[in-house]
Amino acid sequence: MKKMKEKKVKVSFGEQLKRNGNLFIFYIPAVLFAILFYYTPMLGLVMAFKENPNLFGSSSALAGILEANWVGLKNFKTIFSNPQVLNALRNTLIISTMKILIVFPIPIVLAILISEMKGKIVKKSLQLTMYLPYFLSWATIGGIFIAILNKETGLVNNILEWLGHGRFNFVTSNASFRSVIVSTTAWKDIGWSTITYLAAITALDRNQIEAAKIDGASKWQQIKYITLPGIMPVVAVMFILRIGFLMDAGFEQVFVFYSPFVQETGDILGTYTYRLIRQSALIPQYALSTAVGFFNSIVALMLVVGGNFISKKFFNKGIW
Amino acid sequence: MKGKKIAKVLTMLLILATMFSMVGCSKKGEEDNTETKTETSGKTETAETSKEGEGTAKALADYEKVNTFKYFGMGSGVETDQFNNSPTAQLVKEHTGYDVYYDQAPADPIDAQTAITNIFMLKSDYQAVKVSKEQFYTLLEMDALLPITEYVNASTNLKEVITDFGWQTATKDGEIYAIPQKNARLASNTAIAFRLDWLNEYNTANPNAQIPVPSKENNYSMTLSDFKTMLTYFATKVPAGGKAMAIDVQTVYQENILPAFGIYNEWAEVDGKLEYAINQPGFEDYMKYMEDLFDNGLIQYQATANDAGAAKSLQARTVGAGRIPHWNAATIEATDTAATDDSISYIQALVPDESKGDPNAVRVFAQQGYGFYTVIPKYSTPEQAAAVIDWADKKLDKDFFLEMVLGTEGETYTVENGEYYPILPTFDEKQGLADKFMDGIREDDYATYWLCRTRKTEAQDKMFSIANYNIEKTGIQNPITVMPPNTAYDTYYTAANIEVKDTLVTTLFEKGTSLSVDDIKAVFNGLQGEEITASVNEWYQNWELKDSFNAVEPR
Repeated sequence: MKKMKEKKVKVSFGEQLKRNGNLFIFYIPAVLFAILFYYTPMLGLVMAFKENPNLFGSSSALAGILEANWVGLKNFKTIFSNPQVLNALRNTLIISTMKILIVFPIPIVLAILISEMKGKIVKKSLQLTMYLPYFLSWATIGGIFIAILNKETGLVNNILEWLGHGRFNFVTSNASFRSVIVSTTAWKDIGWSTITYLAAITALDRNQIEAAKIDGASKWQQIKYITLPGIMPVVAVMFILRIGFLMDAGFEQVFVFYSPFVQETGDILGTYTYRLIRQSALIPQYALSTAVGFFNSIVALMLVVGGNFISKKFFNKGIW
Repeated sequence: MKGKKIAKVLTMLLILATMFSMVGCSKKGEEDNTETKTETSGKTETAETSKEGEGTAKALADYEKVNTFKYFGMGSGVETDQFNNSPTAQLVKEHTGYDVYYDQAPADPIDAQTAITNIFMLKSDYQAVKVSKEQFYTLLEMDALLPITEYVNASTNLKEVITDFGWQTATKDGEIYAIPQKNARLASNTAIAFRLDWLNEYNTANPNAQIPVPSKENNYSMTLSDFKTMLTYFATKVPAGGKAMAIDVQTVYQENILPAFGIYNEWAEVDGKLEYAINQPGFEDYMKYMEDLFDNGLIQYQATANDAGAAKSLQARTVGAGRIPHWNAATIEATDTAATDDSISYIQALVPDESKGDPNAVRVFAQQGYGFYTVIPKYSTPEQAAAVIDWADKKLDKDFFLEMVLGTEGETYTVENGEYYPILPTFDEKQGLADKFMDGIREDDYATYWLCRTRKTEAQDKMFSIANYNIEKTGIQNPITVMPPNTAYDTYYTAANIEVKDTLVTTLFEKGTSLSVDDIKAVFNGLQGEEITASVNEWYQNWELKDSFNAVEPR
């Protein structure tokens, strides 16, 4: 039965082309964009296996890359023999995983709560205020939170002191740095992330809920048996996509809050490469950074494929 | 079947579209090429003829030159259009005859570095680029620059007003690759600003434990113990949340405190050998002193760029002291260019307790050296190179150079006893950007002209005079600032320096962490520190100016 269905879909692709051929013209720009900006630049990955190219002295950037000597896996060995890189890798994974575990579920809950709200004005204004932080840059948010969390003059420490606790340096302490990163991410992103789930909830079949109500289902039962299963496919897709960014712990954000005091817990791959590769020399280390990027992409690809596999197995839904 | 056909057609379309876009891209490149060709046509012949006539001395006037080019300079703080239309730009255009389009680096040093990187990587259309010494040596190492020896030899002013020593710093394998620009004069750029009113208050309250006020008698110095006592008193005076002294992000080497421990610059001679700061004998004591100040709650360290630094905190009067550069003096003292604030004064340098009050014992970090280099990218044509050098050469004509830098006598400046004084605020308005138009300087003359620029505001004049009081007897320079390209140093030093400073920050300005000086040395050596030191000394030991470079002896 299943196989037949798949076959039918395959046949109808040709049919669709025949019937809606001109619609496919709209597809061309997207494909072109992907070829030009995603697939062509991938050729640059050769740099990961070459010496750092001399892009300044060579006649063109391309010539610089082609002329560089092959060095095999030397760049990867350089990266993974440095304890600071390993520390940064560990932090990247920890911060990213914390963000997924703690921040990812919040918008789902929030979306359900908002959708159950009655008052239209309150609902709309709440949504709007929640979206707002998303549009602020990390530099601005950093400024706000560093001021609020300041040990001597910050609001949070003033309240702590008033409550009889000691003052604490949140941003520059290894004990609290990751919590600051995760909670500021939550503050900035959750409002915006609810949009997808709210849309999914709106698209649910109202009749089911009405039927459940008539059958005497409580609010909690409605959520548990109708809303949640209904939006699960969207949750699965969002989760897989999010996992693809596991190696990206948010450079821009960490960079704003970073100081040498929190190197142990806060130095992620992004800040490490920025500090030593970009800030310290006029010659950007293209070979090394390409190797880091290549490694990142491979891990991300494995995670997405793995996530998709698991999702298919448990929810019967995947992104392909 | 039909579906397949359509798929084929689509694929063809795709390929065609890709090809078109590629052709589009490459066509632009071709156009660019033809443009440069037309620009330089006619000059190819001259280049050949010039080769035939080699041997006879040639002047810059004899070279074929373009009459317009693009220049990438330092950030000026004003819009590019405004910069291009500034009176100084017009003046330079009239005098030299060259129509130059000026572009400028972003203010943020890292963005500026990226901008310069991009110019050389993308072979952007700039024929002259002003870079820092480090950037110059990196570009030289990467073979990205055009040698300019023949044009410099054909120049009138350049050869004469810039010393051989200066040219040496821009030379590699016998070829000159840049116009070196000397810093005007031996100077100390920083001093410790402090609340003089609070110090006076302390002295009135403690008649038996006076702290001598930094003045001409003690060459604006203070002892280590007095400084700590003063800060301890300041801590009782600052508003809630404030600290006695502010320290800027990453400034772990306090130029005005280190000399009290016998460390006279980031690199200084110890027993005939150049040593990095942490390898100099007094460093361990310096670490202890700073850690002690911090542990006693006297220091507010700027952990991230978002926290307030010394200048901002002093301006807000939330701290009692802090090291600032002289161009920030006006910020902390008064918004009015003609006013100063009597409650603020400055310490040139701290001294050990046993040297209390001895003006001859004061030492401070100072610099002169060559700070900027104007380079010509390798992809420029000979006509463009000749034009850039000719333009720079003409700017150094004696009378014109004075007019470019200081303006007109009576209108923007006055002369009293051979010293130049600005007429404010006209000087600031008209000549504010003048230093951005210099490519190489008349080294002897500019030392005097420059002082006029440090008198731009009363506060800056006040601070600069204190920071540089008797500087010829107190200032010690870092020999590295005049070191020619040095592979190990140029490759590893910046990275090692950043990591060492980061590690120092954690031990000096964090409670609970305490690293020994050996731990710090281990960080440096782990990042090729020994290799850097060896390589630097290989040059230093054979340097002919080794003994005459610093006129001031260590204490």
